[in-house]
Amino acid sequence: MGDILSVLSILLPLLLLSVPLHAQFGSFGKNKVNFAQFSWQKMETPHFDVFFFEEERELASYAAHMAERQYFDLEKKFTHTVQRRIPLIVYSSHIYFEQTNIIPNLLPEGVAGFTEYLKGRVALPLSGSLPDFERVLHHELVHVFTFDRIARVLERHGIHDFRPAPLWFTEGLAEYWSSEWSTFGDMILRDALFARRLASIAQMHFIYGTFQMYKEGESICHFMADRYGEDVFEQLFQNWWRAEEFEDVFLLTTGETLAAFDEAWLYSLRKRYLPDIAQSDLPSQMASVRTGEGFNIKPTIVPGANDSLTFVYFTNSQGYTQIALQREDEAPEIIVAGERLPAFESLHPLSTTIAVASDGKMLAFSAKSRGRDRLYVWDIEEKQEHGVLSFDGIVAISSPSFSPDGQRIAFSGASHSGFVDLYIANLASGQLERLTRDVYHDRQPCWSPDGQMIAFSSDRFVGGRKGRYSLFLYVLEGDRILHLDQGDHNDQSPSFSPDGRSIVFSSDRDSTFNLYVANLEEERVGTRRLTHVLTGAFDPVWRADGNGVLFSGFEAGGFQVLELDQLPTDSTAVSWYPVVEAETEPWQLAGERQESLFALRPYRGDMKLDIAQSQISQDPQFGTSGGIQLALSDVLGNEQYTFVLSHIAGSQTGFFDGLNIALSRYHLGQQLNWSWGLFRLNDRFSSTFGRFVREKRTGGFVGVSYPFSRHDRLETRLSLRHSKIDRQFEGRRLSGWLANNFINYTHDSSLWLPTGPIEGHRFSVGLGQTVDFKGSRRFNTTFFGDYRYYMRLSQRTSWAMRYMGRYSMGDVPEYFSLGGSWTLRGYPWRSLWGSKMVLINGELRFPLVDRLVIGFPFGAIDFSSFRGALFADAGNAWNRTFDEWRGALGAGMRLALGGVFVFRLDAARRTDFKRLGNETHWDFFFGWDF
Amino acid sequence: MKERHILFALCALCWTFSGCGRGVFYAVGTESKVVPDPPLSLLWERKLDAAPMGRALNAATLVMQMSTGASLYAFDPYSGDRLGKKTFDRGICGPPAMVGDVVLLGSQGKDAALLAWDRRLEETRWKQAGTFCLPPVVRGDTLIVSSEHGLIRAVDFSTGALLWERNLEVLVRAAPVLRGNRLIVGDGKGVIRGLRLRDGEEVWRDSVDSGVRVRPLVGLEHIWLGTAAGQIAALDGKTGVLQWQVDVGGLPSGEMALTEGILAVGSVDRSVYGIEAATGSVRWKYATEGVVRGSPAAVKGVFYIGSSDGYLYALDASGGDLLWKFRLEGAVTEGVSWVGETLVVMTEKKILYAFGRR
Repeated sequence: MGDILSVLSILLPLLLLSVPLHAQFGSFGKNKVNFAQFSWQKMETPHFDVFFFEEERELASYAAHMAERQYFDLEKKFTHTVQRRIPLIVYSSHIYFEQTNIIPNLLPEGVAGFTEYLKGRVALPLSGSLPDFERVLHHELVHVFTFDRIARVLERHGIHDFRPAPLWFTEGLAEYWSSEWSTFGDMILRDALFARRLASIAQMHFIYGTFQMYKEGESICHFMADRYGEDVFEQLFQNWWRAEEFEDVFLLTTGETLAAFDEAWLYSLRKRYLPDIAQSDLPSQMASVRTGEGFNIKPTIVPGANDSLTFVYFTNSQGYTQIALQREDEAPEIIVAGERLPAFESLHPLSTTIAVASDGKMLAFSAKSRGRDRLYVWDIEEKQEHGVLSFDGIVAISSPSFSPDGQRIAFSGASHSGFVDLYIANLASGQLERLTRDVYHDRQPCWSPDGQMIAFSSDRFVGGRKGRYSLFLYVLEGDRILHLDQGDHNDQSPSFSPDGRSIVFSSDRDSTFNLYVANLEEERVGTRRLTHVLTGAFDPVWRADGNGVLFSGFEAGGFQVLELDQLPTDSTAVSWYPVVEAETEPWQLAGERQESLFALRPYRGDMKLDIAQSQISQDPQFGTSGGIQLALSDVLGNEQYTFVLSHIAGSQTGFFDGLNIALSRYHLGQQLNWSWGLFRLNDRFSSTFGRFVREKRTGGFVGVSYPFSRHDRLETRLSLRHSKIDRQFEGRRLSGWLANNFINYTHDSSLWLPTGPIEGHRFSVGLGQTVDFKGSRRFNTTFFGDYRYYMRLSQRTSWAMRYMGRYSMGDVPEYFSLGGSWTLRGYPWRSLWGSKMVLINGELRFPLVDRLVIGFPFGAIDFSSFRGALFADAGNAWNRTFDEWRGALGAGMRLALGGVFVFRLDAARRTDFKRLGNETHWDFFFGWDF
Repeated sequence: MKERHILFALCALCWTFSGCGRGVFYAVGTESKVVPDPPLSLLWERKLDAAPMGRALNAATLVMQMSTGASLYAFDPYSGDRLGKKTFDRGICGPPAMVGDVVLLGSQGKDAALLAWDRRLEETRWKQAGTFCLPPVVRGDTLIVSSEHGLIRAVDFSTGALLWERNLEVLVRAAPVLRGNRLIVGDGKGVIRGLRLRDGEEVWRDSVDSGVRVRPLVGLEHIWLGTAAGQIAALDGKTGVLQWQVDVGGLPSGEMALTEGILAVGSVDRSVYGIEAATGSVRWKYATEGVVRGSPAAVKGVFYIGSSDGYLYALDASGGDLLWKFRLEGAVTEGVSWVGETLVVMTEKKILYAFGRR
């Protein structure tokens, strides 16, 4: 039986995709919405197929040349030629990238690109900076080469089980080989060291998948190269076949144990970073912390009538990113609640800032809504929208800045081509003025108090080709661009002082991001340093009275808003630079003019295999069982086929009787997703009637899903099938042609921990009907409703409620079950059945142990979340009359193993709501919390 | 033609034939000095059980090829008849070497050892415990074996008895070579040592900028080697003093070849370099379409070398001109060998090719 289940566990997901009967109501989950429609093309280079749409042709050509150049670089580093063409899919904006169907996952804004291993595809967006795009492309190609190199080495030695590298190593190597060691790397490691959060190689599971893991991995690769020579990686891959464990391959290659190397690496970090404390301080030691729980960044001063400090900032103290208002000596107040509604799908806290008008009444921010960014003007006092602007040619908007009169807003905008320029929007007329028009990444504009200039950060200088940023002034009269300073460093986030004579900004010119002030004179600028932080200081803004600076400080792995109220005096060393006209074209896109070298072809959407697998099992009761499943899709993942063929041959059935075939087709390239399928199924695991029955089903279906936004969708499906059930039901043997249709609306804005939702709400309501098509007899009509609400009580504690009801009526109603860990606890799994059902759950979810690592007997196994629950359940299922409420009270534990594998242990006592039963019912199961 | 048939006639003891389990690993004959000029003809091709482990061995009258499946094959160089196959029951970790009748094989794992396997008797003569995956070298009765972790042992070739041992305590990526009574060892840090053959004592040392990755090649006056940083260097053969270094665009192939005063070496920059052995100036550079990892073979002013682009090339030593090329199935990552009049190369698709004159 176990083998039968293992076959089914593989095949069932695809079967369910094809079968509308039991899964007729949509499940929860957020949506990937294809708001934009593109005409895709293919550019063929010697090693790549670059997929792009017309608006981003220039970017695609650049990507193609960069990819070829990087291919040769990696070919040398890996001493390996990848013997296949590499699909490279380019998106001109992260907003478009998030709509990709190449992988089913929703892509967070922090994902800069990915490599998918089924078809070896690389997908990445342009974030505005071409050098950064180049770095991400290089990073992903390291993954391509790593995977291919390991696979070929193993194949060469007849080893068919892939032996993956540890994630810290693959990501670390990708970072190491795609870019120079950065100031951010120093910041992360220095902070981790001083906050005692540095993970050794042996402890890497504690920071699995985090940015810190990437940077630690990169640092380890640097250290490996220093210790053993740059060719150690090539040797490591060459020896990959020689041992199963990475530790053993490492030992064979380097002659040193990984543990000894780990010690040496940690020692080197201490030696490198600990002396820094003599010269600098943690942000909290040299400035006053003005915010509390969670990540709090990008402060902007709200000017007011009095001198008290008031500012707005981004916060995620409750999980979602929101805009908070902080008044002096008061608790913070949320004035814009983001990431819950279609209007504010994302507030882009990492890439944008908040603007406040000089009268302190309005703020402006950009937010993603229905497939593009919009510019919102928000009334601070009323906490409501004052106006919203969107622009035809602009996909992404960041860093708005009010003009002194509050009538205009300067911002940084990305067009369909992906290139980011400066714009000014007139709030009254909605008219747009474009200030720059080139390939340079012009960002973080800040309007001067006199309205004459806009300071901004850009890579429009020679150093920009290497990804460096410098400060510029856009002089509105005459449309001149002046360059304030240039060097091999990053100057960013300029902010004018109230008198307009100085600009405070963040720079890593002394190897750590610190705050600096630039005093503007007629033809020169004098720069002096304000801070000496150990980690990083960002996003500075002047207090309204000019007597202090607010900034985001990085410490203990997070950001807080801090106030620097004691500015250094002018005796601090000042460096003077001439103010010069910015170069018109300091660097160009490499390869732009060589586009004709590459063949261009229209996108054909050829189907290629994603998965092909099979399994055969033997069972004494059910006989031989087996099946295959195939999935095919095009390169973009917009068109997909799934095919399942399985056979469950019993001793009492013929060959054809046990055959299950299902074919489904999905069209996901547009906002309206639709699917169709054909099936012939004879499954014995159906239990609609509260027992195992055998239903032969032959038919087809057509389904449509229309997502309105990331959170809301409407779904409907129509199926026509011939159904034959092998047992009598209420004296009748059921057989006939059935037409089934349903429609439902689903909303999901929940926020999750590894064990289940912790905040937000979700609901699904629907209506379905099944009709005997031939006899024109209505089998059943079913109503369905499910509402779940999660109220966060603290960072990791929440109160969850679920209200669910189902009601089916007709000659042959549908039957629903209750009981077990997922529904009514204290009652056995699916022990209560009826055509009507009601269920209410209340559950307190709280942390028990943040991380559980078991070292015996297989080596370290890490469980990421170990949580507890106290619950009260009430409900029942019935057919004709509701007799009584059944309930249970209890407690449980949850242990997240990854994905859907969350172990659940519940202990419950039943109650009739008058008294509590004496017997404790234990339930051990798996699955997420409701 | 008749001469070749006689040349490769098998001895009367060769009672086995292709595919019968036990194999013939010994044949008598005289090695031909007459190698054909390009273009060559494909004589035969054979599919083996796995990818190549090192280049084919020149067993005078046999082509012997080790596979990553731990199988040692023997073929008639002219007809391609398989004359034997021996599968070892342990993981072979490096390319084999052959000295007379003895095939030397490094193995890894629990019972790691260097095996001295007698191909005539088809039995192991002796074992030297330890992981010695770099190809050994022999002078008279002294066999030098070395590990990647810097352990060097001199053993009696006849008995396997230990003569001396020296641990350099540094990684060694390229097999040592002998020059007179000096053992030349380049290590992973770029230090090159001249060790006395009789006791392993260091006689001289010099260094290059990065780790030695190409097995040194010994000439009358020079010792040439390649480094991880993509340099080919020449040392004075007697004193070990660095004479010149030249860049070859990336990690060089595992070994070099020399003919008519020109050194040839492949590079990961997809090229084959022709370097004047005396001065270090790059005489020519020939670009292929893939990484060149396999070592070249040189004969009569022609370099033969395979590339991971799947081609076997014949290049004129003096000017690097392409004389001939042949499309193979699969990338070439191991070296090319001459066995008598037959040129042998094996690809990653497990196919062993033999070329010559029909």
